[in-house]
Amino acid sequence: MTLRLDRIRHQFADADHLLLDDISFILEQGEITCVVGPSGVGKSTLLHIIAGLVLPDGGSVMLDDIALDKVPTHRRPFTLLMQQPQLFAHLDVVDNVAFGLRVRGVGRKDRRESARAWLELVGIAHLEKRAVVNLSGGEQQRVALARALAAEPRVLLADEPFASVDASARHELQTLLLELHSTLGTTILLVTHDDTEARRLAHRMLEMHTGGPVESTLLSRQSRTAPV
Amino acid sequence: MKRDRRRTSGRELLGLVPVLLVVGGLSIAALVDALASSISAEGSDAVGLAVFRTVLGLPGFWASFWFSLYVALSGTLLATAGAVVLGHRWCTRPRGRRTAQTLLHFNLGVPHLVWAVALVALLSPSGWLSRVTSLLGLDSGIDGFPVLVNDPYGIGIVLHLASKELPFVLLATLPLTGVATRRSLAQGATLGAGTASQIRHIYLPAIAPVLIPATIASFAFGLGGYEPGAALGVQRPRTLAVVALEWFRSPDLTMRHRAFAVAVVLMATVALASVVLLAMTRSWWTMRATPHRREGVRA
Amino acid sequence: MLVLGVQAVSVRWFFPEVIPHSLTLQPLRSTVTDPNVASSFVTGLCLSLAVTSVAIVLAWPAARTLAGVGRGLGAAVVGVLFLPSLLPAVGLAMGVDVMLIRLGLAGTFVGVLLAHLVPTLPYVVAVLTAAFARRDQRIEAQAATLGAGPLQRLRLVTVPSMRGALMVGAALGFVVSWSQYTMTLLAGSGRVVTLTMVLFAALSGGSPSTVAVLSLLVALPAGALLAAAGRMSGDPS
Repeated sequence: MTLRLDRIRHQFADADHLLLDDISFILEQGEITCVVGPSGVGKSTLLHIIAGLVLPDGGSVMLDDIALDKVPTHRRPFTLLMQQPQLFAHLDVVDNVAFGLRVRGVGRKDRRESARAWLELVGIAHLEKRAVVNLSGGEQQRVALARALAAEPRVLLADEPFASVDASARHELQTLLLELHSTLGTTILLVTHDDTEARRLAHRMLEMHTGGPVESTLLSRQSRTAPV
Repeated sequence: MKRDRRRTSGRELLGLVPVLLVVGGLSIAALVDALASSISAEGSDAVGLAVFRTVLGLPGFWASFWFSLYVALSGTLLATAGAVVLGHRWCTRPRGRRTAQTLLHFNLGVPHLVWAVALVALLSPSGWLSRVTSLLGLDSGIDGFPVLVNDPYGIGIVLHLASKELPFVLLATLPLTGVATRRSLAQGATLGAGTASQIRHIYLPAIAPVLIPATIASFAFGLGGYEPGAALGVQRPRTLAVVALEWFRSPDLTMRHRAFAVAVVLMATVALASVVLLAMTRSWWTMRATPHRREGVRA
Repeated sequence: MLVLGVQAVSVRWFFPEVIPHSLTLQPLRSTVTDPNVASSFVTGLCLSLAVTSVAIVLAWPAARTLAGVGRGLGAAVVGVLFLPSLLPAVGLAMGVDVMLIRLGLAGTFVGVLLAHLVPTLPYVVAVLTAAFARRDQRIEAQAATLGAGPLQRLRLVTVPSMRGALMVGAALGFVVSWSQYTMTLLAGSGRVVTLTMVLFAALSGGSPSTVAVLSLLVALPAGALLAAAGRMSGDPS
């Protein structure tokens, strides 16, 4: 599987210059790639374009050399982890995690069983029956992570997923993500403005710049900082 | 990170069409109809103010008009004043607020006609209140009890409007009595503002955006509502709403034109009253525009 | 209302008794079994339920759009929607009736339904718009990335998350429709008869206990529904 961005251009209706100008890159399979750059540079928009939530003005998202231009969000094999956990308040923890399986028509018993296994993996199996509003920020983001992975995405898109929790929870979540990645080998594209986070998680960094038309640079392979 | 602020798409705007078509279409058509019908006479193509001249010249019209205006104004005034005082009280002393709110919702759900029937059962000379007073020896039975419903002074109608519209106005303004308003009131109190000046300088401007439309709506009902006048009024003077409806239902088609002429008079009165109210409350609008309320600081 | 309640279960409750000397269910029984009362109750119930359903379906997309548009357009639409509330009720009902006659719908169920939508829709739209504006619209985007198609998003995410507002909006819509008198009288041309109209007819000539029973039949469902909805919508604080 190869995910490739081909000359993506995008501009917002109320902006006077192009936000994304001619962005191209190939996402390496099985790696964690971190997108870094100052805020307002279009990092989130880039993820939204890959997820199909925003249609670019020009260029294409290519999956195995097939353009996804006409494929709506829910048919794209990616899941998106947002900055806020965006849990479904009317569902309990286990049904939140099972959501992606439910919409694919998996039966109640099977999807719950699978969801429990994912909760086990993210370390909150004991919370399965809880209402999501009663969870801490870190716990909520774990549920969101389990939910995103349970849908078995070919790429996990993550938009500053740990920015809304406090420092200690953030460190735990980063460790969890690294552990999950070493077990599952999921391809991850993660947006962050936090350089330390990027250096800790990324196999590869993608740096975006501001100032007039945006240029993108693919940096060389970096050795990750040793796990703490 | 910047969120995608997209323009509202044509498809989304389409969602507004059915609602606007039903509500706007029917009510604007109703307005146009009323106007058109009132300036033309049955059986002739002539357009003119003849119908108005006839209606305004009818004996008893002006009596009905002033009577309607008086009951609508007094009812609305009592309702709005009550809603403001009670709303302010709830802001400063929230005790019992939840129970009262449930009661108010209940009242709002009771149709006007039923409310009027209940008022009759309670307040008529042979009603329950009269029985209690005569039991207590406060008056001399049926004849001694004051005539409060179906009375020539419209007391019954005014009481009805006041008691039925107060909950409406109060509940409409509640969403604006949140934390911010309460904080301003507390601030005002620490700066020495008494209840009256708190209401005048802080509470009223805060709820004005809803209070004014709600007051106009309640005045419009007081003037143009049929049920109170029909169930609690007397034959002479009748309210204009009762007159209009009876004319409209009369088999004589010339009466329909007269009914619409009355409806136009009612609409014009509501419009005029709205303009007067908006002009009188202009200071609140301008005050809202300034970020800091100076008089509070000066006090 | 309590006085009406007592009056409903008593006959020959004469002045000056404060409490009736005997209570009976007879007026209640005879009124409820009156075929006119029963049929007008059913007509009114069907009518108000139909008005509520149509109002919710029409108000839903409008509210969704209104929650997202800028202040100018939003204020204009809300202004048009609440225009009927600022018009004298009798004049509005007369005008709507003339329109229905022109459309050939006067005296029909559909005609009365349309007429009831005029005062009902604004409230339902207002409740739903407020709820849409309060929630985070990104929750649907989140559901889409998890593989939910448009209909699944509506059924599994949007509707459940709007349940409270839907119930309050439906209760309010039902009550506004149920309470209409003038509108039903004119638009129905005497062929669509609701309980409120039977009550009005009973005011001249009916016994006090019949009037009381009818009043309670009209008032209690609506009042209770709205009180419940008010509790559910909660305190703004």
